[in-house]
Amino acid sequence: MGNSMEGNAMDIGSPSARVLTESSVGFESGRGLDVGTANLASAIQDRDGNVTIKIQRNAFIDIDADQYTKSMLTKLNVQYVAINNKMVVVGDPAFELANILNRETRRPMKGGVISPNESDAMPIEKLLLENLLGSPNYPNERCYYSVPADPIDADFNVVYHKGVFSGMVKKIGFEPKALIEGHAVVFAELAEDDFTGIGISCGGGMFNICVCYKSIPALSFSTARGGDWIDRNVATVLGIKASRATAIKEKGVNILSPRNREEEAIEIYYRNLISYTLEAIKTRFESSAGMPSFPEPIEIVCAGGTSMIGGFIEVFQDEFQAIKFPIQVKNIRRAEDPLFSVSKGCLVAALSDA
Amino acid sequence: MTETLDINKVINTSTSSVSLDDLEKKGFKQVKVLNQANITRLIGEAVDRVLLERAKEIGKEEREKVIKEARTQFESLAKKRIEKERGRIEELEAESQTLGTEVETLKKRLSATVEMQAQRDQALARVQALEEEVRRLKESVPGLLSELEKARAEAQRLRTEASQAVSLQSELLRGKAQIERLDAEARSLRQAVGESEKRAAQLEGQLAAKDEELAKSSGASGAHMEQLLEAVSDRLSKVAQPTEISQIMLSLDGLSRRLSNISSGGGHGGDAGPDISSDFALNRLFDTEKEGGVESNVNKVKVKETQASNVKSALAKLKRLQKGVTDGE
Repeated sequence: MGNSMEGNAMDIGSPSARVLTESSVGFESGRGLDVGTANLASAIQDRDGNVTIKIQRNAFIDIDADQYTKSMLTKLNVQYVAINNKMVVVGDPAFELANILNRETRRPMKGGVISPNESDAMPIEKLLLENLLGSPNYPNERCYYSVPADPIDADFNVVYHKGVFSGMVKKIGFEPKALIEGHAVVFAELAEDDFTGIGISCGGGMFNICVCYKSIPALSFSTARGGDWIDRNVATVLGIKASRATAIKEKGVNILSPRNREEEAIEIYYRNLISYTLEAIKTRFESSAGMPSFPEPIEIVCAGGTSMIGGFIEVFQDEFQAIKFPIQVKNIRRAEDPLFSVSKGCLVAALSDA
Repeated sequence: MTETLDINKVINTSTSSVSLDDLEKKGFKQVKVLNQANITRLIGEAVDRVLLERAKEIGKEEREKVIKEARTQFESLAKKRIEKERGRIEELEAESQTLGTEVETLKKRLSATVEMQAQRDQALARVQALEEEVRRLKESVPGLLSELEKARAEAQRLRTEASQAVSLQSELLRGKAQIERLDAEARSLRQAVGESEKRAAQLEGQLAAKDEELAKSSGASGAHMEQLLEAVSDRLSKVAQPTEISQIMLSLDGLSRRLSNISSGGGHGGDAGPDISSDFALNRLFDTEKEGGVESNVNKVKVKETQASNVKSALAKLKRLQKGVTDGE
């Protein structure tokens, strides 16, 4: 799951987190959890079929604090965690604070997996997950959590990452089940196509790709570039902090019609990222002996925060036309709920497995 | 005759003196010289001849008139002659100037020619020096070829030696690898034997315990004791057999396969994943929490919540698919 692009337009529901998490009545069994580089999101369904998403930016920032500050932070609805006399502000306020103070946020995850530089952030990460998931309705309730597929352009695997989050979810009281991010997108978005097609999760740390035939993944992999890569590069060329670049990006840019130098830089790196990803997908498809040959053209659906920027699908289609894709594609579209697709996909998997 | 013709004067006033050097400079190498006295004499003779012819016919007055006319005529002729000579002199002077220019040009060309000649001489000298160098080098070629041949032979010898060295090194490495493999096998076998010995010791202990138990048991029949002893003995004998070691190896292979499956990562929906949370020392990750060093208001602050589109349809389709029912059936 990628960068948050919801801005201020998101409709924040009225029920409190406490009400949701403490209520064991009225909710279906099974939870979905999107463990993203930029955002953490949980999904739960009530008996009437309404899906509630709780979302939290996966970032924090160190601050100097005393008792007064702690009290004020609580009054201001700002989450903090103090560990061994070190204090951090977590979530969206951390991001806002970083922009005000012209600093970088600390990120527990990098490139889709646990950041090796922030291993001491795991207790904070667990607190955030506890808050998002709440308590299980019953012991060992199933929770499907997203994991990236192994990358094709970076030398690491997801074993450690998967193990740590499995343990974390288990400690909170759920039975953890891992689900590949791209597969979750297919579950959430390609029901009309009998869960056949290509789901792409355009995240902050990675792009996750899954080719499915009737809900069975034929091929899953990831590329190690995402929204953070754009932010880092834009920040470098403009001489600003990456957090600032993220803020500019999320303010409402349309990459088909950049209005200034900053937006032009964003457009250039977006186009490059999309082109790079499509080439990587094409190369992987061409080199895969296990690729299914679909009887009919399939659908490509893009989800994740990085896909939410204006003009993304149009540029994606442009770049798609420029390459000779080895599979017949009938349509390329953005997910219905790009930011929540992965958590919803995990929820679908959990509900179907309950 | 009233007026005497002064021929000398006429000549003096009508002519100019030019030195021989000047004449020579102007290109006159030879000149015809007419003596002034001869001129006077010739004129006189001419006049006398005319007068003599006409004396018979004319009087004194007319003679004087003739003399006057003759003088005038002479002066006119002399003047023309002198002017002609002057023109001639000017032409000669112009010609002399042209020749002087030509002389200068020729001098320059001569100078250039001399210079070219000098350069040519130098070039010839260099060519000669180079020819000498070529000759000297040609003379040294046989010696160099001989040295080259020797060097080639030396290089060939060194290559052969290097090839032999590589071959020896390769053999050495193979030998080393074989030794390491044998060492590993020996270690493995020692370990297996050690394990077997341990199990044998355990079984012996168990046997002793059973023995003791049987001894205590008054109701145990001798036949039953014999069967038990036979069974234990049989197991003990099997422990040290190669088949047991093979079983150990198979068990290790199984473990290896499981580890391999774990490291291949997720790839399918609903992968429960290996239960490796304990392997990752998660407790260590959350040590801070255990120590009670965490203070937080995370649970007190509401996070963003939103309603998403429902998943009923997707869930129903997935369940149908899982049951093997596709659309249209």
